[in-house]
Amino acid sequence: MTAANLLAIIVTVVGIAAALIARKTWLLVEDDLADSWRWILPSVPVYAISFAILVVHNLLQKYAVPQPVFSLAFSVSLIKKQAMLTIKIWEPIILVLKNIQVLVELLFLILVLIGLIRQYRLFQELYRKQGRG
Amino acid sequence: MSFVMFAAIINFFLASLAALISFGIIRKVTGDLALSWRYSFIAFQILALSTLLTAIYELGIRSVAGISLQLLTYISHFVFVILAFFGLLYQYRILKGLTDRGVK
Repeated sequence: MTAANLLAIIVTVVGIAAALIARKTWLLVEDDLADSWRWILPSVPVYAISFAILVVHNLLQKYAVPQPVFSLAFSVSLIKKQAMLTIKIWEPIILVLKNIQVLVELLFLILVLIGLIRQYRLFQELYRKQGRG
Repeated sequence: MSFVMFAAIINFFLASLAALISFGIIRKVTGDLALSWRYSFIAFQILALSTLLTAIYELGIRSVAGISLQLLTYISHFVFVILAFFGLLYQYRILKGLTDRGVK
C-alpha cells in the first residue's frame, strides 16, 4: 500500500469522526442555527464517502487483475446456426469511480455552501441587532 | 478537457467561495467563535488548493519538484480534514459551554 492510499484511508476515518462531532453539535443547537447545521451535518459523511470511493478507485487501479471487471455473454440460436455476443467491461468502472468521486465532492461543497450561507445570514442578523452593523 | 478536470475546477471555485464566506463570518463574530471559524477559513483554502492540484494532475503533470502530485493532493486533503475536525470540535465545545451556562 502506498503512502497516498494510506493517507486516503486516514482522511476517510477522520471524516467519519468529524461527522459524529457535527451531529453532536446539531443536537445542541436550536431554531435557525439548527437549520444551518442541518445542511452542514450531511456534508461531512458525504466527504468521507467521496474519499472511500477514491480508496476503492486506487485499489482497483493498483490491483487490477487481468480479468474483466464485468462480463456479460449472450447466446442466440437460430435453428441450427449459433451466434455469441460477449460484453466485457475492464477499465471503464475505474474511470467511472473517479467521476463519481469528484461529483460526490461537488455535492459536499454545495451542501457546505448552503450551510455556510445560512450561518452567515444568521450572524449578520445578530451583528445588526447588536447595533454594530 | 476531461470530466474530472472540469468538476475539479468547479470544486476549486466552490471551495474558494466557502473560504470567502468563512472569512465573512469571522468578521461578524468575536472571541472563541471567531477562532473556530478561522479553522474553517484556512481549511477551505487548503481544500481549494487540493482541488486545484487534482485539476493539474488531470492535465498530465504527475509530479512537482520530484514529489508525486497525487501524494501532494492527499496531503492537502489530510490537512483539510484535520483542520475541519478540530474546527468542528472547537465549535462543539463552545456551543456546549453556552448551553451548559444556559441550563445553570
